[in-house]
Amino acid sequence: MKKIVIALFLISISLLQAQDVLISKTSKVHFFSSTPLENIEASSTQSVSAINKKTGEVTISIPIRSFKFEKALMQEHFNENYMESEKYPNASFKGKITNISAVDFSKDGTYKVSVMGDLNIHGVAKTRTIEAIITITNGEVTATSKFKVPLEDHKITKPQIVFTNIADIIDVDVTFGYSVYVKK
Amino acid sequence: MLRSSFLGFVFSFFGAFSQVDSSSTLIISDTASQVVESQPDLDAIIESERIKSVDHSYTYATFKGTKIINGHSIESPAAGVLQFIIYHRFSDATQGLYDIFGLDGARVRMGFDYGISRRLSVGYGRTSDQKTFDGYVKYKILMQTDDDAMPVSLVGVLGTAIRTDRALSAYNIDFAHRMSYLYQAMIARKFSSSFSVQLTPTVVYTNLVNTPDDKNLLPALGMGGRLKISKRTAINVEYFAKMPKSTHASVKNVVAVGVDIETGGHVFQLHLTNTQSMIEELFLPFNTNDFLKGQVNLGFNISRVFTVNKKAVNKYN
Repeated sequence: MKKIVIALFLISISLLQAQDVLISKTSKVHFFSSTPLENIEASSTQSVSAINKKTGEVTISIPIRSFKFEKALMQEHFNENYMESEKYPNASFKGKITNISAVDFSKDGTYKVSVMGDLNIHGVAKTRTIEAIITITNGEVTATSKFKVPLEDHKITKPQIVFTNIADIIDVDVTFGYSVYVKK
Repeated sequence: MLRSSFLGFVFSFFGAFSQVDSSSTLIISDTASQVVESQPDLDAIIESERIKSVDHSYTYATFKGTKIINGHSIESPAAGVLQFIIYHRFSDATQGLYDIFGLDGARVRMGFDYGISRRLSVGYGRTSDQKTFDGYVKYKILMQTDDDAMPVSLVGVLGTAIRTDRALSAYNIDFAHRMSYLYQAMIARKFSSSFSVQLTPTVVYTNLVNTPDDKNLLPALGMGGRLKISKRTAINVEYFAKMPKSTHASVKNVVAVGVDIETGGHVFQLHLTNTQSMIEELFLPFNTNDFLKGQVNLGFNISRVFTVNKKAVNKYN
């Protein structure tokens, strides 16, 4: 009898663990480079993100090939010459929401959070602390953030000839819509 | 005492579910460690939820230009994109400084290509060689994908050329005699970001040929390759081998070797080739320059792309 109770106890612990994880159902990652000569922007809706509600752990994976540009040649150059997406197919972020205890996932509301972790773009990781906003509406969790990425941080080089067409610091904004992770 | 009985219960719990044999110890220790760690692996979850369709993207930039050098490549402008092209071939250097090593005797082709959809594109051009107007339709039958679900690209070209040279009027001919037709089925593969190869089975049908030894129907096999040597430069090589005995002995196979330089919206191709004509309908039946005899011309291709139809770009992206 005792064994069965403990067995059930152990099983229920592992079930609780899975419910702590939120997985993204919708995503939008958008970046914008503005210079007097040219504006460059693209969006991707094929990123995936997971949050551990209890520990505040955050993981995001962004496939570089999924960024859509208005100019086909720009998309080709972005992948082939700047991001080298054949070598580095994904940009990623792995970190932690430092003030996760301030977020009450059971109550609707808007929470300002600070996320600290490694942002890896073009194969180069940089430790960043990024501000984000977690919004809970009718139990649905959405996270948004706006931050800047200096090209230099991730060894993304631009050739002399288009030096003035591309900004040194890129504006990035992300939006993720989450739901509870259910293991298939 | 409490800890050992706890562990005892852990092992007995899993023991109830696993077979009592040599492998059971592995199962027990593995699941025991899972119980002890009990942290969901976000990386593994992300990996399993990854949207797989990105891997299935169509391969881009097998070649950088819509022509490898003289002949068509499998590439075409993207949907909604207009490409202007200027192709130049100088004369050979045999007259030395007199004609600045052939710079005086330039032949030009100016034209444009337009992408209608992801697979369909059209092109038009005029070559100063025999005052030839040409048009073509290019269709991507198969497109290589990044995950090799489709390992090659297969692209067909149907072209027409009209030689409006007044010199042809000396022969009592109909207008239809000035026409030539091009049929190509190109197979190419991008092996890596720095290496691509293409095979181009070609048929040119020329209504009016020069001598009885020249056949109207001229099959040929083109082959070309691209080797990237830096982020924005590559070496291209191209060779067209005509079916033996389809032309007069003076007509030679076409060889070309060159360099691609890509900047912003332009592609510059600089090359050495034996033919002065820039379309298959001209260089396959009429080229008499012999590459091996040094009858080689310097040439360049320049292309510039403009996005003219944003709706088409977004539709096919």
